[in-house]
Amino acid sequence: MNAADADTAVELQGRLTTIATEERDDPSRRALTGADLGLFVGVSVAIALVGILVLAL
Amino acid sequence: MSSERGGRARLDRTPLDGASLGSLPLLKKERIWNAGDFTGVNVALAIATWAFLVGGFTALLVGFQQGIAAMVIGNAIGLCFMVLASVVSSQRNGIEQYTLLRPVFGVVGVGVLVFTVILITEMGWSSLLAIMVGRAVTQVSNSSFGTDLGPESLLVTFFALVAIAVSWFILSRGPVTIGRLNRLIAPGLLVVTVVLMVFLVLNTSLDTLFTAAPLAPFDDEQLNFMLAVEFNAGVGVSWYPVMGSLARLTRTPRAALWPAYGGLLVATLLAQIVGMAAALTLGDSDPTVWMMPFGGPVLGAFLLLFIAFANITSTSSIVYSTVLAIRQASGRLLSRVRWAWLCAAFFVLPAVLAFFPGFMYDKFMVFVTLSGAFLSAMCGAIIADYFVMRRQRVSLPDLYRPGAASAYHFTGGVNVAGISAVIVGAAFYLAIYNPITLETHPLFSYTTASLPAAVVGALVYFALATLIYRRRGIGDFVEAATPARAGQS
Repeated sequence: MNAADADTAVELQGRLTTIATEERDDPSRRALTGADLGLFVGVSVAIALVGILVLAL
Repeated sequence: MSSERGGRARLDRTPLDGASLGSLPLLKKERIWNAGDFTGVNVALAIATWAFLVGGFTALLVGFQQGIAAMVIGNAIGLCFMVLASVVSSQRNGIEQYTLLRPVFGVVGVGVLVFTVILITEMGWSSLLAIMVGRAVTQVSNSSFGTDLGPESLLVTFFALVAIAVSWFILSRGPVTIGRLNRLIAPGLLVVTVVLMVFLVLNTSLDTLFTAAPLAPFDDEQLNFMLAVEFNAGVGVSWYPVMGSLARLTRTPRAALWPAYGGLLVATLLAQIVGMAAALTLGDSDPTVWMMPFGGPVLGAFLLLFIAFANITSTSSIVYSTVLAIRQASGRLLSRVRWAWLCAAFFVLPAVLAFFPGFMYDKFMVFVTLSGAFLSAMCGAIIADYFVMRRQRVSLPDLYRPGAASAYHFTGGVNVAGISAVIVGAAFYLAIYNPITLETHPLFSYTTASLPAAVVGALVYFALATLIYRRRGIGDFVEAATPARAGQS
């Protein structure tokens, strides 16, 4: 391992530690809820249906 | 990318080089984009020259009304699973998408996909953009200097090669230079789109547009429509290679999800509809052909030259993520190769393809749909892995552990389930719709090919990953139904 690799490894470890400790419960790292996902897919389907409506007009 | 300007500029001031930091997880303080910022980034990306081209090619198959419907349906479908597969996990973990692919395909499997599907997709797009530059310059020359240069003349190739050389130069200067240029280009393209819309309103009527016949349709009207839908779905999915590296810079899940989908969808539709309308009005799908008569000799030439330059920065933008991915996917093999040399190596094939400008334009739809076949299947496998089998939980330390020390080592570095899902999903796509022979299965008329390919990719992944790994406790899959915290191993 050369100096650049060592720097990267140290930097990586520091970041992983920060994420696992300080940012663990931060809103920026929140998982999407079922409602979020349902809404997203629902909106996508609705937009596709709008496309079908354009065709039917 | 246009977009990475703020974040990258900041990151480049750290002691690590951009490529090293590119693979590391970003911290909260480095995630600088809110929903508004990210919407702007996506609008700037989507209002690019390829959107005019896609609009023009859609006009080959269908008329105005059907074209709008095909664009809306195709992009809604393609963008939906592209966003779920790339944006969500990259935002949550602050990591670009190729590192996050390791749980789905294994570190060696990611390398295989990057060096095949991703590389070919991005090489195809960059050669096409370069050829478009060549055609734009020769069109301006024909109009301004009375030359008679054809669309496949040697000068088209020459200027395409010049475009590639300039793209390489910009790319070799790094992401900060790309960001600076795109800060000028992105609003410029927005202005160009608005100007073209004004010309459209002045030069044609709604009645003319709605009655204009498609430029080169097949006999079967329903097939034409579904081909147009599939083509647009392929365009939507083709954002995959660049979106994760952008989404990692956003602050919250909602700031990533909706701006990615909405920004790309609305801006793409706007530019594509302008491209389609102009193509239908002037009878040619190629923006470099219709731009001059549309805008007049002076303004048309200016617009065309601006678009030519925009193509160069677009090329630099899309190639940046890909070259970064190549370096990361190669492990130690290319880690010591200088960035500029690696970028130069990327451009070898696009430079060769520049000698066949007619071929690239003729096969544009084939290329987009074929790459869509593989990207759709990939997205299906990724969605099944991340949302169903991991419940949005990835072990960040294991993403970076080498070899068998990583939970994502699988079988010699390959997640057999992931690679099989891509192969089977893409094969299913080609069984429903073969873009080369244009043979279709009756199912294609109702479902498109991208959507079932993604579903098949997801099902195959779920079945094989469960059978081969999960039941044996390999791969760190989640058993419980509760979503876990980010970074938890």
